[in-house]
Amino acid sequence: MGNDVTKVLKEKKYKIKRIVGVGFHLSNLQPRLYDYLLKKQALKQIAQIETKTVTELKPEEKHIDHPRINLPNLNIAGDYYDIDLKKHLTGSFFSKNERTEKETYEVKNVSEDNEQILVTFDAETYRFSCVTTTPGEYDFILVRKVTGNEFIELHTLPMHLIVNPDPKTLWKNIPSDETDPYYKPDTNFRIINCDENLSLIGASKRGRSHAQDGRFRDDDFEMYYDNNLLYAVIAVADGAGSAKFSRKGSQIAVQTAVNQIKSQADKEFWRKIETYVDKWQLGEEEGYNNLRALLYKSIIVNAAFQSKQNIDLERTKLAKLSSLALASSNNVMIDTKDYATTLLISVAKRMKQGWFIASYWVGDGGIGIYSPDENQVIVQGEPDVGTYGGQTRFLTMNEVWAGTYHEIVDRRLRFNLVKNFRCLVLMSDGVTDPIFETENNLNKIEVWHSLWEEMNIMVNFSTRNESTAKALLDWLDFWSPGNHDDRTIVIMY
Amino acid sequence: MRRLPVYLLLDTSGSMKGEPIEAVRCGIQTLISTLRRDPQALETVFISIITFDREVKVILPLTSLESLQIPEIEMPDSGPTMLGAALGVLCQQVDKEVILSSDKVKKDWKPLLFIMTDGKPSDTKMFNEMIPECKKRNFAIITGCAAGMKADTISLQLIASSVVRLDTCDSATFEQYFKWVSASIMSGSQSVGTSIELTLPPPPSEVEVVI
Repeated sequence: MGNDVTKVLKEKKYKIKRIVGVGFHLSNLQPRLYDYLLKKQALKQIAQIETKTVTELKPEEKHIDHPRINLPNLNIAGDYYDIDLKKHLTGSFFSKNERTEKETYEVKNVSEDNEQILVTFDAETYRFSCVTTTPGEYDFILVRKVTGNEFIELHTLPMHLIVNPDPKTLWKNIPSDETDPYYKPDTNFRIINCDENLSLIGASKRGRSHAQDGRFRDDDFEMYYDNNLLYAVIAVADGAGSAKFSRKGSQIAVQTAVNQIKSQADKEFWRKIETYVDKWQLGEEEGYNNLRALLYKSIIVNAAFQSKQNIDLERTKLAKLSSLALASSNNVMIDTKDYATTLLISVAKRMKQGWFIASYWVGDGGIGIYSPDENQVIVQGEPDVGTYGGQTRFLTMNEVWAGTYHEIVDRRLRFNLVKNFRCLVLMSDGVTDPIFETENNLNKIEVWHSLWEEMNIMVNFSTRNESTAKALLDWLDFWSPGNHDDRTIVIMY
Repeated sequence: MRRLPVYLLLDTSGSMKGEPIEAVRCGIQTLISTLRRDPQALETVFISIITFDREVKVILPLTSLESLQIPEIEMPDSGPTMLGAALGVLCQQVDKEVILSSDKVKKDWKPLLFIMTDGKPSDTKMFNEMIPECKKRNFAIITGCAAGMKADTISLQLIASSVVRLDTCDSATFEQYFKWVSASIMSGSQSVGTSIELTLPPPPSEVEVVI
């Protein structure tokens, strides 16, 4: 560039700037300036710089590029995002200059897909906020223009933001295969009214994680009330998610358990139980021992063990059928563990001394007798849990049946006589996991209080009809991050 | 909420420099964005990335998929492959980060481990010592990935329950590998409530399974 022109322009406080696309052509210079340059014989050089552009002299714009920053992720698309940007910056982007007269900010959305996102930056509070319903990765440039006497600074700060999808929108609901021989409906709900003030209510719902890929509901429940002998039997089972026929395993388990108790708990049985309970209440050891022995026989051997046996029978049946169907002599490998399921059984009867409730428990989930008036919950047993999450024992495992009579009874059978209670609750781990979180919490009355309150918001238990059971089923749909297993709950109240 | 901890052990020794490490970076990007589209994974998966060359660096401590941002991967020009030391750091991290029992919060699922190397461990003694230590950490699965023909599958087989080989270290192959990793993680996050062995989805054709 010709020195003369530069010199001349400087004199007139004009400055040549090499900003392509900005400013204007020399021929567009103000006529006065043009004349002036002409007089100064500077036009010789003008020809040389004709193709370059000049601007009127402004204070020099200094461009300062700051390194890109990653903003904290927006965890759920649709949520309002609002952060204090100053806290996330380590560099000099916001640093003030004594000569600063004015500063302005501008946010540009330079995202590749140019998705819809509403962005704002508040210069006073340094808060950066945005709203979008579209998940994805966004790029912005925050421009800070600092103006002072004779200088302009343009600070640019590239920012990257990841917007996660709302998990609720990602779940699919694929129906399970109705033509499958072991098909069962994705939901089930029922109510049995025993008398005006006593009902058995149950609901079971396929978990979102199962619905996501069209898998079956592996949970099941069964309940029965004997109108003559006035006792109730409830069973809840949770088929192992990984076991391919566990939906059938849980079904066989609850049906066998309830049917076996139904066929065995006759008048004589309850007479004996009442006699033993009386003695036990008087502190006689014999009564207690006899109770244990009788319950062992009826609930553990006759019901729970028979459930396991029936699962074995089903396995044999299917193995034979499959071999026939394949017309081969090869044994089709079907294992009992393909039917792996947990099992919870409770038997309850009102007696003159109060309510007698006995339970058997193998696997996870929970059984509780909730008495808010006494501020008490009796958890009838303990869940089988492993070192890592999701590990449990199943009815179909031999280790569950190993041990002496006393070991088995101590581990798996509980019975209580209660004067007064609000409800008896049996749940699969699809309910206990999100509600109680840890095994320890199963014994905490506060958690039971909040469970009962939560349910009562959605379920009007006093109506005691089909709609009550449906409401309970709807309640089971509650949202809890990471907890999307099948959910089953049965309540006697 | 139960977390599914996923550990990625990545070889960043000099031989990975250039295209291979860029391919790995793209692969991780694919992995993360694939997992983010899976509702079960999005809520449960926690990822940690440990790199090893002459040094072992935890470049990403166990972080939820929601809040995760892929860190920069730095690497030296040359030097040894300290896989043994990396396993040592891994065990420490697992002990520190994976929740086995607590009265207050929920236990984690068994962690998953993916090891990727294009060479063989330089610290053989340490490596051999760390194998039983790693096994004690009860990973649901440990898969080894031998990237390129120079990678040693034999030492990987000592630690991993399954080993795959990538013939080349280009981005297409790594992309396939990481897609398979994400499918494995998703199947891990779905096998809710099981005590039965986790089965991996079949690897893509670009990936050769070493038996």
